[in-house]
Amino acid sequence: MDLRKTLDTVFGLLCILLLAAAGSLFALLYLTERTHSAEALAIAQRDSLFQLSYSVRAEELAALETLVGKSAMVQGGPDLAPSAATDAAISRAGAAFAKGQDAEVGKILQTLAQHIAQGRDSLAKAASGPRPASGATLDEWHRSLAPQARDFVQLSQLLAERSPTADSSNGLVPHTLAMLRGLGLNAHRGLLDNRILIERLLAASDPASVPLLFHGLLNSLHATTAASTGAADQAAAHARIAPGPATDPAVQALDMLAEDYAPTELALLDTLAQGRRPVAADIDLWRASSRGSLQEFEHAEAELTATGRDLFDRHVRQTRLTLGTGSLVALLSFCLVAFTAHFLRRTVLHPLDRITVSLRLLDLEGAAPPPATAQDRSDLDRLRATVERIAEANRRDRHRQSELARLSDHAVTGNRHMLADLEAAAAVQRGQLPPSPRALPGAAFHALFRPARIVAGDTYDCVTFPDGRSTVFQIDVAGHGAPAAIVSVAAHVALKQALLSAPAKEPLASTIARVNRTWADDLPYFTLLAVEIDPATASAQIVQCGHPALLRLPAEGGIEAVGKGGLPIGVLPDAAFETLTCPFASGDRLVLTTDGLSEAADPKGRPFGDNRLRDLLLARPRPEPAALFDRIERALWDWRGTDTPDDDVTILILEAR
Amino acid sequence: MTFSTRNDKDVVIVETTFQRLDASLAPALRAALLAPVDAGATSLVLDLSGVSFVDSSALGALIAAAKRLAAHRGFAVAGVQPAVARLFALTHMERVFSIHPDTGEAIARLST
Repeated sequence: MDLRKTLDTVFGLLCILLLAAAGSLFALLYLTERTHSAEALAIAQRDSLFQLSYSVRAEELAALETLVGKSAMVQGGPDLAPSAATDAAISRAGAAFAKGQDAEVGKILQTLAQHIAQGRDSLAKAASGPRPASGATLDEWHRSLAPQARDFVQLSQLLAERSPTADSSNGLVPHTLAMLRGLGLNAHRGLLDNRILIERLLAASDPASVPLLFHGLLNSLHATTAASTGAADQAAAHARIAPGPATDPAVQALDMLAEDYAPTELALLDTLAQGRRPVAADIDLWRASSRGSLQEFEHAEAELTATGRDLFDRHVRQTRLTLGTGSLVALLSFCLVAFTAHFLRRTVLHPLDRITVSLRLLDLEGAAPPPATAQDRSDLDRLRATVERIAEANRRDRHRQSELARLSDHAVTGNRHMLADLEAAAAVQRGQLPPSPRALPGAAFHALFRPARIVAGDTYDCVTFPDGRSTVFQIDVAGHGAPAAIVSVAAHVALKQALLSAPAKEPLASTIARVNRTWADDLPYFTLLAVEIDPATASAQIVQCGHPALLRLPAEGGIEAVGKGGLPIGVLPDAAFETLTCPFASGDRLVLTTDGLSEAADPKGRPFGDNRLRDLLLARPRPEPAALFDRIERALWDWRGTDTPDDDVTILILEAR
Repeated sequence: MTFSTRNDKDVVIVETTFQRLDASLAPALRAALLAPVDAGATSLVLDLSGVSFVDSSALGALIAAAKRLAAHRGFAVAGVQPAVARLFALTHMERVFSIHPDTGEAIARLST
């Protein structure tokens, strides 16, 4: 039992741990997915702003080169290709921030778009003048760019505030890349400012403006140097934590800035500082170098953006894989452990339990060593006695149950058989009865027969003799149901045989006396009413054996009971039976009944009696026997309060033609 | 509601508190009447003074008792009420056993 408990505890804890692990990994996966989608949005927003910055600057550079007349300027207006790229970048950035429902940035972007439009108006105005444009024109154009420059400063501040959101889940590598990109952007800005300021210096016609331009130039140089130095440091740092080609484009741009552009610009500024006009070849060299450097930074930005996106995508995929696999493994382990626990319980612990129980029972049966103390012994004895008592009671109970089941089966089967037997017996009994109505010589025979059970104690028959006489008899065996029915069938057969085999002209009473004499002493008695009608004499002979008297209804009306009774059959072997004679002329009716009708009890136990039957029989005009039976039956059911008789009911009517 | 017996000299008197003796009581009545006979009684009186109705099945029990004591003509009934008297008349039971107004007369008749 201790083993079971230990195993249950260990497996239970393991299952809980594994389930918890799977659950937390799933939860973590869900949370990470949410973070990642927020990060992806932040990254998209930031990238769109970078792209917008570079587009706007490309447009500025194109405008500048148009104005100084060295670039391929479409005649009559500024080059539209860079401006199309800018418009696309603005709408992309607008879309990215709209997704983040970022109203603040959205507003700045709208202002920026307006300012860019103003810048383009200014460019168009400047470009419509002579070219290369005058210093004043360039100055004016450059001033027109100030509002959009302020917009970018605002945007970059916002971006700086938000930078922790982007890449926050992906460690240091994307972070240094982002820093690098920011510094690159600043260096690019500084470079472009340098370019514009120097172009203005070159075109300056008013010497008073020169010191101001130099001052601006010093600022932008300072910014460019700071940014590029920072970028170089950042690129070196990144290369240390994540060796690889990721920062190569940036390093290349910085190298070019330092080794190619910086010397050319310094040479040009040196000449300008001395108040001299640089030679055209030097200017062209500087312009080409400037353009090259700016493009290098653009290229580096594109490369770094792609790298950052790759890094992020890879990070997301890896996280999904790790967390998903982890939770799945935890879940599978849980299933495995649960199954193992179940398996162990079934195959090891249950048999162990059974063995333990068996061993304890053996103990109880006396195989155990005697207990240490008398108290223990008496406890154990009591326990053993209880167990035995219970076992004995169970045995007895089981025995009783099986005995009951057997008896019940027996009873059901027996009952079924008995019912089948009874049905067969009833068929035999009904087969003994004559049809109703039946025509007899000079008379009609009608019968109403309502047995109380399937088989009856009542029976009746008609026997016709060659000389025109007929004998009708009615038998009632005491009781009803199967025992009465058996006796009834026997009596029927005995009497009918006696009548059929009677010597010619034997009086009815003699035949009946013979039946009485031969009726077995140990068989129950029965009552009998036999009527022999003779059309030749229009009379009836009546023998009454303990049976209710015959009722005679003469055609002219009235009713009389014929006979005062007599011994039943089977009571005294040597009994003699009296014969009565009565007229039986046309229209006369003779009615034979058993006591089932007169003794039929109502719900209070009162008998139906003879008078109700008499009244029904006396009804005028006289109903046909079938209708009369209907009335009698209805009256009987009304009296009983049910349509089942408590004893067999038989009524026979003989009507003389 | 029961059957009971008492002895008066050699005569066993069977009494009952039932008012109706019908098919449902016939076996009990039969047992009550035949038990004294089995025990050797030759004279038996059934007191029907409290019985208002006897049916043909119960009559069978009386006939059985009468048959068992036929040799001694030792079975009698007493205190027969009108409805029971009509049944006995219809079935001519006066030829099977003696019928008396009360148990005293029945005992006197059987004792002689």
